[in-house]
Amino acid sequence: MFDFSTSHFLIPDLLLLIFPFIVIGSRLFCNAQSKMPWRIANFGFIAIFILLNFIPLASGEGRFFISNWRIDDFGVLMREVLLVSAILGMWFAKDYFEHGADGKPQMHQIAEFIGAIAFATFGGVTVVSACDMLTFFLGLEIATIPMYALTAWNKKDQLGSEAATKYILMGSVATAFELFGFSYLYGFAGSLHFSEIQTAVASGTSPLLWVAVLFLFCGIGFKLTLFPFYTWAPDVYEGAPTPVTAVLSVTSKATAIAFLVVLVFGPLAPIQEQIAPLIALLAGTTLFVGNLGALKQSRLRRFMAYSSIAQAGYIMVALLGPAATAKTAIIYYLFVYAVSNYLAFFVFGIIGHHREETFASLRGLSKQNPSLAISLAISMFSLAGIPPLAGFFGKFHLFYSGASTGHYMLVAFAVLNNVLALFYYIQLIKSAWVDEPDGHLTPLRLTRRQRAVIVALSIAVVALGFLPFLSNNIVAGFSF
Amino acid sequence: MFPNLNLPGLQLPDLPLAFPMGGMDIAFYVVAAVMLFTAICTVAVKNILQSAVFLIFSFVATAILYLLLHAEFIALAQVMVYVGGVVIFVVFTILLTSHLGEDAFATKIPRVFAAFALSIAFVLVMVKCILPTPELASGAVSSPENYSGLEPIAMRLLGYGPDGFIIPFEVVSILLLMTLICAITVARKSKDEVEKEKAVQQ
Amino acid sequence: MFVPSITNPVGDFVREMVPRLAEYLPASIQSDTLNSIVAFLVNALICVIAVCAVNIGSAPILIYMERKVCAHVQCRLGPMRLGWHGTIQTIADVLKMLFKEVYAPSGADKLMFYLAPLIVLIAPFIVCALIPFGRDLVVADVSMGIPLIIAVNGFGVLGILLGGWSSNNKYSLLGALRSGAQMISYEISFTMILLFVVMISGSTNLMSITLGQEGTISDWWIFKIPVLGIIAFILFFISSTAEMNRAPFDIAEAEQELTGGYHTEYNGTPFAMFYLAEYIALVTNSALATTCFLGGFLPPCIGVAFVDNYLNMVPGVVWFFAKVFFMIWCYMMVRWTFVRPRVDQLMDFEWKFLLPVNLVLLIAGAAYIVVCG
Repeated sequence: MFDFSTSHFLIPDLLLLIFPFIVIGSRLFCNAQSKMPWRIANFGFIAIFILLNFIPLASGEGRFFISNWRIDDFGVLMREVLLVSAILGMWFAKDYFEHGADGKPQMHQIAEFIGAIAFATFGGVTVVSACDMLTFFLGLEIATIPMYALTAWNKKDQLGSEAATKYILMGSVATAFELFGFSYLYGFAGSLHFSEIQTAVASGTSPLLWVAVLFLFCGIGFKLTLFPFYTWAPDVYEGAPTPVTAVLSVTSKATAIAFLVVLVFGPLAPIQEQIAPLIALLAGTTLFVGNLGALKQSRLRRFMAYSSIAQAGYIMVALLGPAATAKTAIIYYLFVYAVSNYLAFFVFGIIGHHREETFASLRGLSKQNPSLAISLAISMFSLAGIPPLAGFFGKFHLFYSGASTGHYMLVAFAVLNNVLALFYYIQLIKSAWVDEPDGHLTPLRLTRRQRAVIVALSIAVVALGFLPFLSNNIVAGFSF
Repeated sequence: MFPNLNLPGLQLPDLPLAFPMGGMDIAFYVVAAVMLFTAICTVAVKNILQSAVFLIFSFVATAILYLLLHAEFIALAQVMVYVGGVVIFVVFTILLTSHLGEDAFATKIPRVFAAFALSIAFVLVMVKCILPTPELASGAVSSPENYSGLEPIAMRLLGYGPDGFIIPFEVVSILLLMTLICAITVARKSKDEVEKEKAVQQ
Repeated sequence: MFVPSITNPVGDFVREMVPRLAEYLPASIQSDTLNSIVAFLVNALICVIAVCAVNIGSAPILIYMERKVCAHVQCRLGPMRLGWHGTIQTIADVLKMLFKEVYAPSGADKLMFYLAPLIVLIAPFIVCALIPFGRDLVVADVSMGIPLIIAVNGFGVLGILLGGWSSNNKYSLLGALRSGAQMISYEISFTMILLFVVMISGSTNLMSITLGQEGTISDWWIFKIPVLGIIAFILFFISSTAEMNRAPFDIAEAEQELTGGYHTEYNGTPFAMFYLAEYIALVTNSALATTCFLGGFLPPCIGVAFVDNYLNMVPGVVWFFAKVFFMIWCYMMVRWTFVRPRVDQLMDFEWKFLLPVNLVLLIAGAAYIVVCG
């Protein structure tokens, strides 16, 4: 074993920082068909992920680098979630650079694509490492701006451009709200540093603080697709290329929720109880609206958009709990959500290769390729939260966190909503297992990579659920 | 100076106005009035290019407000970034987009009314929230001498210590570079597009 | 009450004189505050007049000079009839232009049409106020001179874009867009070289940049940093020429292609203002080059005490204007010597050559300071 001491904890971050430049730069030295950038990207992401796993999780305040770069347990686990998402997103996207899918042309420039994903990941890392509002805000922007470009990656696709335009407009408005909130928070506290803001908040509130909190929640509401601000999500998810939709629904969401976690349990921790009604309201309405919207969808990506809106609502429930419980629950759920979501997207991607990405294309899947249908069922049941799959335990943790501070009404509402959610997830499974195909089915082709990933992800979803003690083990070593 | 209005439900704190005062205060009110006027013109004017020009003047007025607060560098940065950068690009975009600057765009009256009502409500809420701030009544909190000078700002911006902002500074450079890469990748023409264009030209 | 004051001998003189004159007024309206306000206003007025005098006064001289330089480059004599060697010719031309009828083309946006020339004039006037003409001769000795110059330069682009658009003329619009693109591109190089100057001089105040070059001619920034200084000076020369839209970088006007560019539709006084702005920009850019590289108002001492004594006897302002007119002469010679590049060549030159060279220059400058400074 090599010596991985405290001062080395910064290495994964630095690697992640220079990694996109290496990948994009490698394009300069090899021809367009070369596999070099792809290999470098694979190696780099996996190496960073492995290095992250060497960081021990047992420390209170976290460690500080250059005085203002914090690496704590939540941060390390968030990094792992983000990297898992980036790696899976990259693997998922690879096929879209080899052929068109879902009526959209083939994509180009894989090196820049991976670079953009890496930048977005670094943005998420910046959010969880920030100690002052400036870095915090910049992190969120770094996570968001590549997403705008990724959405418009398919230049020949008009829907993609439209989606990107919508996304940019909505995103900039959200950014404006956030900046407004940050400036009022600064006006209230007189400092940009989280610790000083926390002291100022603890020593008394003022209307200025409430204005700031309101604006911050409005701004992050856009990015997390919370209830009144979610309207862009279905259009963008629908218009973006499928791999981008997958990355968007995991990386972007994970970053946004990390932002809220850092905010609520960091500078705003002293007033968490007072803002609980706001969080509860946002969570309740979001999961209700998301579930309601998903009921009537026929396009798979639009369906996933509403599903992810609802999932954001569920995650918000956990924010009501005490810090340690909430962080544990959110991290665990994000892992599960990432794995389940990517499993679903991989299946959709294989189907979307030759057909449209709609519910109708799923018909007859169980006869044509039973293993694929089983994977789809696993991922859907996990997203719906059926025991003994991972999604159930994830949701259990989320609700437990919400209930542990006495928000039983909200938790009850969320559980009821879960029944509603089960209905549409089962609809999807029904079209894959029960419905008869309309006519001749185009054959499905799986590459070796796709097969391996689907098997691995299916096992992960099942295993994370079957072995809940394992999930306890992962998080047991972390105390806040 | 202002009689305390003792209306039920309306508890205005003592307004922090010390009128009439030194040249600085007069300058403040003049600049603020100009800023408000140009800001209103920005949204009220029908022609989008005129709107952009009023926006510039509004930004310049903001910069002068910063100057009055002795934040010289922020003021100059405001002019540099907005006048020299952002608005020029806005104007460029308007000019390059065919006829966008020439026809007036109309919004429906109910929308205008709703927007107006919303903004008035917003202003009222903000006034209600901001006026009780103790610093407003007791006068400006003075910062240390030369706190906003170029050199102290630079030292803080590049400082490694707990007060330093080296991390955001570097992160901004990453952000800009990343935006540049993403924008170029999305905007640039692929090889077959370039060839097609050449074929059309010939 | 805070009353800003202007610290130079002229300002001191006014401050001294105002209370003395105020004694003749009735006692009831005499007060120190009033005196200081009046003194400040008088000083401000003097400053405004001085800036206007330098700017507007230099324009006819420069136009005459340009005609003469152009004529001699082309083996002609230039204006010879009106006055001695045609000296009154320019004044006659200016008078003619000012008495022309002012009108806007139909369909033009009147407000923008008349606003544009005013906006163009903002930058040269503000820059002129910052330049130290002599040890005590500076209107605004602000600590952030260079950032201010960079900031106000943006107004020039804006005025040209507005002027071109509001003329309701295709050629104007094309010229304005070309010119705008050119100016914002070359502004980057321009700013970078000013940054280089700030880096080597360690100050953003133009007065201290000048005073940092005190000593002999080899202490001027152009010679003090070996090789780099000269490269920076040449780059500054190129980018400021482009920044001013002067030939050979005058694709904005390009008479042959665009019938005059953004000011095609302008006539009379508004046209005169565009014209004026161009020539004032010539003065201010030369003055900037003088201040940043050629020692400003400092005499070109050569280290020999006997010669230096005589050189030091000449007032700084004379040296300053001598250097400025030398720079102007250089700009003019370049204008009448080189051919105009095509529009895409121009952009390529900036983005693919000038900008990388500038970045390398900045790094080299930093390395020089670390190693030798």
